Amino acid sequence: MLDAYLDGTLRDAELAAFEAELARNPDLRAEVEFASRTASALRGRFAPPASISVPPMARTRSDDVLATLGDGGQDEPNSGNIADASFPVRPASKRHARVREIALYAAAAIVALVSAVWLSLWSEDRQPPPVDPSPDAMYGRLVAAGFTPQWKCNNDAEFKKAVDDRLGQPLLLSSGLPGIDVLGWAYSSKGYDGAPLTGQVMILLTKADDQDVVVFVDQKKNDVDHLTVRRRSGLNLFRREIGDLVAYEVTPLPEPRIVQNLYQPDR
Amino acid sequence: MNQLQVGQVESVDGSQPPVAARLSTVRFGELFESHSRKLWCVAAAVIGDRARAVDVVQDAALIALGKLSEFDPSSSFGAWMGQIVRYVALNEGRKKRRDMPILTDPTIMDGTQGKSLIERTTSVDAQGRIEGFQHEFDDAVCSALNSLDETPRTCLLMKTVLDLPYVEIAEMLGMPEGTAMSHVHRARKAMREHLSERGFDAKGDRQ
Repeated sequence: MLDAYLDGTLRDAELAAFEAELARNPDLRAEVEFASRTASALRGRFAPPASISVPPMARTRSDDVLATLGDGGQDEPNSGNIADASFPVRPASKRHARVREIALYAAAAIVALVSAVWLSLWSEDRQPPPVDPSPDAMYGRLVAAGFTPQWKCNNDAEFKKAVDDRLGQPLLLSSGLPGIDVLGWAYSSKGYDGAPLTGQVMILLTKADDQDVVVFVDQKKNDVDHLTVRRRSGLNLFRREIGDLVAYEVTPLPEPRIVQNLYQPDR
Repeated sequence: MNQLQVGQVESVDGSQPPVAARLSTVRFGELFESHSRKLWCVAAAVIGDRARAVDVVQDAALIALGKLSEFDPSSSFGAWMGQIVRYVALNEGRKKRRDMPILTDPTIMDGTQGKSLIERTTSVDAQGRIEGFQHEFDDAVCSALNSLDETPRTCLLMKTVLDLPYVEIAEMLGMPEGTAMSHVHRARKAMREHLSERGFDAKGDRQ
């Protein structure tokens, strides 16, 4: 009822009843006041801008050029369309039409050139292309890249130390597991950007019954939102906490084969 | 494997929308501006930073423009754009975390400033006064907000700050209306509990 009141969704009769209760119940009044203060604090802290425009750089598109330079464009059914941008010109004298057409092409070419240069510089400096960070997408990228590890541990000591050095806690995988082949590690910051969790996540590439199985290992504190995989990916996701670490196994198999065999050894 | 890339909108038969049905950049600009406050709210909720949220939303606009041919105008612009903003904000958040120094103790002294790192991150206005939101209760509210998962945090902010109906929140975040409502109600409850644990009574006063 309190939430409905705060949402403003109470009907007249319900609202009257609630307000009557509010008048005689100091605890309820306190709750409403508390909610109001909380909302006020949030509104103060997160006051949104009036509106945000598309940044100026984006206005160098061909249809904007048309719109800016004058007639044409908006009157045509397909104008304003990046994919098939053409430069329609209304009938005038042939000479003027030709001059206008050349001017439009020239302007568009200059703008395209400038924006391409600007975009390439800007992209390098500021904005890496977004990468789908979901575990199933990352799995797909690893498989597409050949499922090749960047580093392989030669023994348990190296494995343990690698995790300890990067995540602050040693970790080992039980040895001699039937059907399991540990290929090695990949790192999110070295060629496999966009991994789930954080930039320090360790990515263990394994084979289980000849199937590609990926395990993401990170500090538990970094696992703010538990990961999920999309159902249509056909993959399964299994999560396990090992001390201060968390491990997610992404696998096409119906059961986990790796994470339950990870353990925290003594240093 | 069938993967959904950023900004990609799947049609029923997996085909791209026909050319004639694609969105013009002019129309994109209009839709973008009309959704910009909601998009800003998504960005602010994900990265927890009001100022950087504007940059995130504008970055997302540029990315969306590059993928405009993949957008089906018969689908929800808000949901498509919201998804892109969310990915950009998540990437921005990760970048920020990667760039953060690793601290063993948050009160480590910063030699260049002579102040602890915590002190240095306190927000002040141009006159050096502590901003209103830094008051004790407001600080605690921000802390409570940050303790929420990203999705309920976003739902709560959109409801509280923009006073949006649940149907719009749901559309923006690609979830059922009831789920959006449930997130908001649970988030309010979690906020109350968080603040209560930190010694604030039912009126929001320090006990």
